[in-house]
Amino acid sequence: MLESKPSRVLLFLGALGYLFLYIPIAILILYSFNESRVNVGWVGFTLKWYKVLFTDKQLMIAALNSLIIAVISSVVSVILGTLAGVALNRYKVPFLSILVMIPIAAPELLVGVSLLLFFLMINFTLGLVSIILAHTAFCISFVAIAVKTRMHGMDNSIIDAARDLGANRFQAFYLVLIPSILPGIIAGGLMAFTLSIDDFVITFFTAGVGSSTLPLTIYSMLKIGVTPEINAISTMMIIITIILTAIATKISPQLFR
Amino acid sequence: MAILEIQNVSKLFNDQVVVTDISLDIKHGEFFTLLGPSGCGKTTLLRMIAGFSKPDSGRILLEGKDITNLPPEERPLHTIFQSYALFPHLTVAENVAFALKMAKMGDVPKEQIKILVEKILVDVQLINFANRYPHDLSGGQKQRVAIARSLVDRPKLLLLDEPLSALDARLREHMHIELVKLQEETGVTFIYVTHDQSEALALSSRIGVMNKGKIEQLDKPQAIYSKPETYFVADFLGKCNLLAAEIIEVKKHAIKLKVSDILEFDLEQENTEDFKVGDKGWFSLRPEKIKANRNEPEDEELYTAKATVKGYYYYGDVTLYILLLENGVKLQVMLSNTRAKPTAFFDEEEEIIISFEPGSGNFLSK
Repeated sequence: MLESKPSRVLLFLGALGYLFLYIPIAILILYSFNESRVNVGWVGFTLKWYKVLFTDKQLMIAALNSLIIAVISSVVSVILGTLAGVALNRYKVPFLSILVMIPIAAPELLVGVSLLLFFLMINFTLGLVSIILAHTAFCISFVAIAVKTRMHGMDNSIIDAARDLGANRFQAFYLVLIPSILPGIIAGGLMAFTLSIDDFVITFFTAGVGSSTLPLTIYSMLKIGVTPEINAISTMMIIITIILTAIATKISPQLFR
Repeated sequence: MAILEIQNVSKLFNDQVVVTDISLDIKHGEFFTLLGPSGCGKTTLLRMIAGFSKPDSGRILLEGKDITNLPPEERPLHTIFQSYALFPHLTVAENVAFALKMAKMGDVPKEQIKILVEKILVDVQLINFANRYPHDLSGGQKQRVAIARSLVDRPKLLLLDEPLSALDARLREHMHIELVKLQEETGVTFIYVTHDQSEALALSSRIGVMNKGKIEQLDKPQAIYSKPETYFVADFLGKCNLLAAEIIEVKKHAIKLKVSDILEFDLEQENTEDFKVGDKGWFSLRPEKIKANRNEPEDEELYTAKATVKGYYYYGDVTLYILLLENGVKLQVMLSNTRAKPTAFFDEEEEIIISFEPGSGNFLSK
C-alpha cells in the first residue's frame, strides 16, 4: 500500500499556497456585496452593485462581445487545433512543432503588435472579426498541445485496429480517434475559452471602435478607481469559470486526474 | 488448398530491403507461424497481408483473389496486435461488436449482433465483463477481448503479431492451449508471428523460419527442429552444437565427415549427388542427442570421443554441461536429471566419454 496521508508539514505548506491564491479572490467576492462605494471597510450587505451592473449598457455590450469572441474562437481553434495535434503526433512534419509552440512562447505584446501591423497592412477593418482571428491564432496552439499530449500516452495501433475491423479512414477518425482523444480536445477547448475571455494585451491591439471586450472595459473603468461594480463583474466571471470547470470534470473525469 | 498465396513479395524501407522476394502458400485451416529474430521482416510481411503497407513488388492472393491493393477494411481478415489495441472509450461488448457494426457485406441486424457478441464472450469466458472498459481488465483478459473482437465475424484469416509477448510466462502457457483450442474450434486459418522458438514449435502446424527478409526453411515443427537446413535455423531454434566440418569422402549412401579436426564418421544420406570431397560446412548436433558416460558404451552404432567437463548449468529438469574435446573445441551436452539425488553426474575437470549417433546430427553447407 502506498502512504495515502501527507505529512503535517506538507499539509500546512499546501494550505498556505491555497490561501495565497484564494484570499484575494475571496475578498474580491466579499466586497462585491459591500454597501460602501470604496473597498476599505465593511459597511453592510447589498446586491445593488449587481443591479447597477445589469443596467450598465456599456458593460453588458462588452460582456456579450467577450462571450461571442470566446465561443467562436474556441470552437474554431478546437477544430483546427485538434487536426494540428493529430498531425504533430502521427506525422513527422518538419518545423511543425516549433511553429505550434511559437504563439505560446512569444511575448503577447509582440503577437499583438504584429497582428495589428498585419491587419493594417492588408487593410482589414479592426472589430470583432479581427479579435476573433487573433484569439483563434493563439488558441490553436493550446488545443494542439493538449491533443498531442493526450495522444502521446495512447496506443497508436487502435487506428490500425479500426481499419482492420472494417472502418474506412473517416470512420476510424470519428468513431475511434476522436472519442479516445476527447478529454484532450475538451481540455484544449476550455483552455482556449478561458484564455480568450480574459485576454487583454492581444485584444487591446486588435480591437476597433465599438468592439470593446470585458477586460478592455474593466481596464478603462479602473482608471477612475476600483468600484464595487468591478468586484461584482469579476465575481460573475469567477462563477462562470467554476461552473465550466465543474461541467468539464463531470464530462471527462480523466481530464483532471 | 491454399487460402493465401504470397507471390514474389518484396518490400523496401528507406532503400533497405526488409522483405526479399518471398513466395509462400498458406493452407486452409492451418496454424502457420513466421518465426525469426526482430528485424527479420516477419512483422512487415504480416502488415502487407493485413493491408497496412503495400509491397514494392509481388502479389498477395486471398482465395485466388488479388488483394494486394485493397485497403485493410476491405480484406476479410483481422489482426491481433501486440498491444491488443482495444478501443479505450468502448466497453468490452462494444469493442467486440465493432467489426459487426462496420460489416462490409450488408448490415448485420442489431439483435443478431447482440447474439453473436454474447456467444463469443461466453466462449472466451468474459460474459461477466461485457460492460467493463478495457482499463479495468487484466492483461490476459484484454488479450481475450482482442481475440473475441477479431473472431466474432469469422474472418477467413487471423493474423497474430506476437500476441502473447506482453503476458507473463504462466499466462502465456495457458494462452497457448486456449489459442490452439480456438483455432481448432473455429477452423479459422491463423498466421502467427513470433520470435519465441518454443512457442512456434508448440503451436504451429507449419513454421517458416525467417532471416534477413527471407524464409530460410519452411516445414513442420519436428522437421525444422531435427533437420535444420542452414546454420541460422539450427542456431536460432533451441540449443545446438555447430562444429566446423569437412567432407573427406563421398560414398553412395553416406558422406564421411571430419568434424572439429578430430572426429571422423560416416553420415548416412539418401542422396549424395550434391556433395563432393572438400566441401566445408558445419555439423549440427543438439545437446540432448549426446550421451555422456565414465566408461566406453557397448552400443557399436554410437560414435565415441573423449572430453573434459568444464562446468555446468543446473536447470532443474535438465543440466547443461560444457565440455571440451581433446583439441579444446567446446561442446554442450544436455542430460536429464532422472536420478533421485539432486547432485550433478560429473565433477568439473573430470574426463569422460561422450557418444552419439551420427544420424542424429546434420551436415549444413550454408
